Amino acid sequence: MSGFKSTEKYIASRDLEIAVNAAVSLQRPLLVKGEPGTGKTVLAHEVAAALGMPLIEWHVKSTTKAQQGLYEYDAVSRLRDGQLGDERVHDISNYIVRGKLWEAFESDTQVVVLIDEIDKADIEFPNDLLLELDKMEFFVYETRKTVRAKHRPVVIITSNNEKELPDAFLRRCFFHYIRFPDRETMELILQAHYPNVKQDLAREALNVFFKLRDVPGLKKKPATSELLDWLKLLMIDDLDPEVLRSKDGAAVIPPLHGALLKNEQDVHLFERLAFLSRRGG
Amino acid sequence: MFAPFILALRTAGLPASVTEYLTLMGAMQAGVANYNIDDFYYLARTTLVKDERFLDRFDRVFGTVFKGLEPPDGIAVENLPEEWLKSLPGRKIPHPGRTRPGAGGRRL
Repeated sequence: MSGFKSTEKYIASRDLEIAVNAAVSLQRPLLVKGEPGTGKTVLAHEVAAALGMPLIEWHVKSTTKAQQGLYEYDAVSRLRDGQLGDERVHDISNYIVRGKLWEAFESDTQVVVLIDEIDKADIEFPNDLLLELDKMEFFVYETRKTVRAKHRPVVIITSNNEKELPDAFLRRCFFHYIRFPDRETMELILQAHYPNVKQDLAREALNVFFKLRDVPGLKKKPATSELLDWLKLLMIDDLDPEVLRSKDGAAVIPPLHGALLKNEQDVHLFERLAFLSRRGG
Repeated sequence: MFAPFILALRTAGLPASVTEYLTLMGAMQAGVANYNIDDFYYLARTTLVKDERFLDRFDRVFGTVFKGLEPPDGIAVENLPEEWLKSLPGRKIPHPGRTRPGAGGRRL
């Protein structure tokens, strides 16, 4: 079994490696939860790359139905062909549109399937997929055929925790909660993405970043992707790290803070706090 | 040999089921944990805990059942961001041993 390990671009902790390897070797879905911006979606890409398998992504929206991942019956095309007298109309299988899971089941090599943000969909969505994910097969009513996976795909499911997932579904999964990276891990992540960043700039940026995350009452805390964007901007502008250093402990409004705070109220809140602490100091 | 562990988890209020127990055994057999105690802890956690609010309780039971085996630094519940915990959809976390309706206790 080729195991999953941290790569140059993606820093995985040991517990994540174990969880992925367990899911791969037992062929059960892996459910990944965590705050936004902790790298849940990226994880699936990295697992696929590490295992050398193609990745099939299925992004779930509030309107997504479980059936759409299996197949859909295109009645409108069939009606049109019927009116035009097309020969295709006699074979119903011409109007079965394959979904992402079918694609994965049909694949000649083993693939990784990402079911992204499963909590966005209806509460019934995970339940509707239980049997299909368990047995890795489903029945097409229109053609009276069963589609069976040639190779059981590795299934990775992410959730932002907007809805509770059903117990029966959870029992069949492995579970991993991605913590927000601590400072040391974050330094590794920065190194992995920007090997050429100036050490003092990265250090000051991390100081500001973690201080900003500690501000109480922020609607949307900046996460890894915001930090990476922001640091990139700082590097392009070639800013002096001194600008980020807070004088006499007071909070500074970091330059280009638009990359970190994406919410008007958060910016206001932060500016007010900075103003208060300046006046207080 | 791990049955007492599962039973202890259930007594502590974690909804660990037989399915999950068998999964854990299967993963051990497949060599995911590789006779390493840290790896075993992580494997048991990923198999048996499906809700991050149970992580601290899992750590405690693990410590009691496997006496002398220190679990590696897990996710302590105080490390979970407050807003995240509050945003979790409501599910009652059972309080073990607090309900004794027959003994005149108050149901919580």
